[in-house]
Amino acid sequence: MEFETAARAILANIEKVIDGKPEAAEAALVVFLAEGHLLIEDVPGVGKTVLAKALGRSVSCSVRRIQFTPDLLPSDITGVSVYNQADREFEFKPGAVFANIVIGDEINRASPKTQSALLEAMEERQVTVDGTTYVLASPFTVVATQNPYEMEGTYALPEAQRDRFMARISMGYPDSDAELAMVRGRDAENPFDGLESVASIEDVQSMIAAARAIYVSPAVEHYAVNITQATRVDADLRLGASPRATLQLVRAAKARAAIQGRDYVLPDDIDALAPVVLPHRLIPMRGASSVEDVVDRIIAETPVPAGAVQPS
Amino acid sequence: MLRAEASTQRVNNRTARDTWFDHIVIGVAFALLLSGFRSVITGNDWWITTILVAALTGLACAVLRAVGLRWVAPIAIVVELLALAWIFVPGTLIGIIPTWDTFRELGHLASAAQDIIIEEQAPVAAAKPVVLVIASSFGLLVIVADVLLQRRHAASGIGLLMLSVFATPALISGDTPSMWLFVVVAALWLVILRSRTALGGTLARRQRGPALVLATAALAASIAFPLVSPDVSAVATSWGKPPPAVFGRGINPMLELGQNLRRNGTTTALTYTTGLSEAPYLKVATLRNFTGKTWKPGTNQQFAAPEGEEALKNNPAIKVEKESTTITIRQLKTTMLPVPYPMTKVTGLEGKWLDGFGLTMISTDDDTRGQTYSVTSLDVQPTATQVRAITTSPSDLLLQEETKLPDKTPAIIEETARKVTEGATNEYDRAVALQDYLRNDGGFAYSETAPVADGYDGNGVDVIAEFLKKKSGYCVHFSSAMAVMARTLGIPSRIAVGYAPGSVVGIKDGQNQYEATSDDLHAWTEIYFAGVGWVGFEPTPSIGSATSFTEPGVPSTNTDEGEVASNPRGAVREETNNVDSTGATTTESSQTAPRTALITFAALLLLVGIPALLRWARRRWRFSRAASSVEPLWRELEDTARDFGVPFSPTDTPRGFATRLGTRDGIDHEALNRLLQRVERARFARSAVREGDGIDDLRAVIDSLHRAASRKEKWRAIALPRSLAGRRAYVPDGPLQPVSTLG
Repeated sequence: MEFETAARAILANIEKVIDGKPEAAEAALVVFLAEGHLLIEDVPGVGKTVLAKALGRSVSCSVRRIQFTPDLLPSDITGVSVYNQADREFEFKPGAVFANIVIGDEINRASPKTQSALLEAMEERQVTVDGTTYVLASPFTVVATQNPYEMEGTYALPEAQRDRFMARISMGYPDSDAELAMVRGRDAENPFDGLESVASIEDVQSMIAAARAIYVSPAVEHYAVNITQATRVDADLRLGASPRATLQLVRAAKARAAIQGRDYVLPDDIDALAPVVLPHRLIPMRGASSVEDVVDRIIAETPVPAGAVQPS
Repeated sequence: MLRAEASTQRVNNRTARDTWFDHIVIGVAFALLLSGFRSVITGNDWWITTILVAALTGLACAVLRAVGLRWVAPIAIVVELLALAWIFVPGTLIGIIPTWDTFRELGHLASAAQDIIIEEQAPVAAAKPVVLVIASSFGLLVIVADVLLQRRHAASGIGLLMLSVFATPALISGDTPSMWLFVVVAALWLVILRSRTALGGTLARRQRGPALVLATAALAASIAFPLVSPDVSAVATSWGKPPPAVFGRGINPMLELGQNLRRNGTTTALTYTTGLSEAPYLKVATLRNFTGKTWKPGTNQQFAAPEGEEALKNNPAIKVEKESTTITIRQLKTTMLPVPYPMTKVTGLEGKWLDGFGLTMISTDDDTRGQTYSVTSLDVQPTATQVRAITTSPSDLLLQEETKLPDKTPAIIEETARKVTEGATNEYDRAVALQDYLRNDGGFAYSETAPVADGYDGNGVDVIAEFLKKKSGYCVHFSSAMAVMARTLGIPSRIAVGYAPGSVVGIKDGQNQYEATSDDLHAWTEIYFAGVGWVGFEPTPSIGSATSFTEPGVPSTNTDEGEVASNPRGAVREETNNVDSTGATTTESSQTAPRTALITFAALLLLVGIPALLRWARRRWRFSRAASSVEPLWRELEDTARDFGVPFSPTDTPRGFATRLGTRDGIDHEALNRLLQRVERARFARSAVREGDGIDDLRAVIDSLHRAASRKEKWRAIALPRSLAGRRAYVPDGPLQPVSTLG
């Protein structure tokens, strides 16, 4: 299937259940196709879980949801080996992480130990239980949500851990039209009832491969590096973006270019994605403006290399 | 945040040190430019005062900026005013508080300065009013520069400011401005340009191209102006500035004549039509009193021999005709009226005019500006026989003044006079002999500069002696020499000052219209013949024509300033004051004012058109390179859009810029998108767009921009293209369309 058509079909499918949030849908798809993980930080009830579920349904992937609680154990995530009385041997019971799309609701409610079990799985894309390594499904994307307003009794993700997420988005409230439409249309029926998958897992896997093959010109490579390097020297930032951030920025940009039907990355892709890929990794100076503003300023100030940039 | 806004912010965040640096550089540039005014003002201490005022004002600006006050310019003007008051009218201040007297005194000085500017020729003495004007001007310049420095696009404004200050003395004095001064000031400007540039080195280099082109054009223009157009001051005066005074009130016209003649630039003094058979000399003053050092005007209070109609009363045999001459003053300010001699009646004058000495007109409270008047004058035509018969008694009491010689007269004057007039038996023949000797036979050369260079300028007896030896001088020397030589022979003589006949410039009411310019300022000799009156003679070579009377039946020339028919006037005018003793050509005076005005206008048009021309050339060049790369086309699109006021930032992505451009009304979106594809693929994709070169798309987008733009925007885009100022961020007022959105 043509990449662009498939991408549009998936996005259109998601929009059937989430009104008026095309940016969030696209960001989710970008992260999904770039094999990254998505962190959604927002208040409850704006459609974080619906978004993740809609994505999963649209591509006929397996979707599992973990509600993080303080008493959740690492083995609940990774799985556990249990002794099978009948076979007289240990049998691996896979945890919630064995799915294409894993929704981690309110990840900040779990203990740090449980959190890090998930984060390790995200990074390694495999789980080791009792000395045996189990490879996770492909594609594999964790969509974690955090509620930033109710912080009592929670363990907020340390900044360093957030680096594992490719992008962080906020859903934001829908505007009044979208909310009206939701009230009218969604109350009577389960929104997921009519949602059919528009792409197979194989389609998705070939799309991921195609996104990896998108061309990144030396000019755009320089541009991405210049932006992340600027965050490391900016006077308003205490912690800049990691090299992993640069890598993920370019990777996400490739996926976005592919979704838009291009076989090359534009600086505009970097511009569009930097505000969701970078801010959650940065720590502002005390008293400085918000991290989002700083990133916007850096994007605005960094010139786009034009013409011939020699590959270095 | 938008890209353009961000770069704006960066400029605003420039450190205080940079601003101080710019201020100091501009201060040095102004101090250097001040030196250019040495050709306009004489003396030394004026520039110290000026620098003091400018420095105080600049310091005020800097301190106010450092403190962070708003309203810097108005406060700085107050400070400058206080500084001026403290320096020029200190007595009127109470402490540092100005009183009513302060303003009145400053007002008096200002109006005195105005008079000086109107009446005096550069260079003027560094009188208090003049220093006040230049000091206050430079103070204001400092304030303007300070205001400009607060703006992002200041460099071009400051450049213009410097250029105008640089060109001012040259325009006033007509001297060619100093090349070194220009180079140094231009270099300082580039320093400012460099320091003002928002985004550092690369962009500053880009700006240097247009900057250098502009600077070169400005230099060429300011050097070429005084050379190409000696009439700059004439054009300037015709724009409403009062014309320069030629003969100031109560000042000896003889003394000013040389200075006026040596002045650069020709102004049209007056035009006239006449019924006289030959174009008349126009007299403004008569000088009868020779002190030995100089000639002084006569007054009506003195006894004088009869002249004009009165002299002819007892001599009915002499043929006399009355003719009218209509004169229109163009650019001449004097209280003495140019009239043909001998005049009988003047009509059409405005204001109060009185009869002056020697059949002239003077005014005590009016001047010649804007006057058009008709003069009736006599055309006295005695025959040669009649005039040879006349012997004027040297002891006539009424001619005492006109025959008087100083106690000591160098012998060479009388010796030469006697030698030249040897064989002449009557007064008329002697006079003609003296005239011919000076004019033709004696080997004299016309030069306005030789007497000054050799240190014998003036008209005293010693000067005349020196002139007779050196044989080089101008009308003052020739007329003065002839008059004094005549007196040594006992012939009554005096000097007339006014305008030589000038040249024909057209036909009006069936008569030739003549034009007399500032180059036609002249002095000639008058000799008295009893029963005829005063008769003008022309001893100056190649001006006018020699006086001679003929026998009846032979076509005669007029009696006043007769002109030999074989001496066409046009040819005579060509030679006027061009040749000095060394044979070098000094100034070009054959140009007529309309032509000069045309040249000046064309030059101005060229200056105004330089930005459009540069812009056009750049577009052509980019189109010519479009075949090999899309970059010139995209640059051209960015520049054109910027010319039309589309916001721009050097950090724009092509898509971001195209998005913003697309929000304008009437844009050809399809062509724009094709062009965008082309540049994006060229820059960022594996393979560029192959087919075509994109010029048609660019033309389509530019056309759509043109169509949708307002008339004002179009003119602005053509005459003052913003893109010539370099690739700096341009953010007009008002909200911008977002450059990029997610999704």
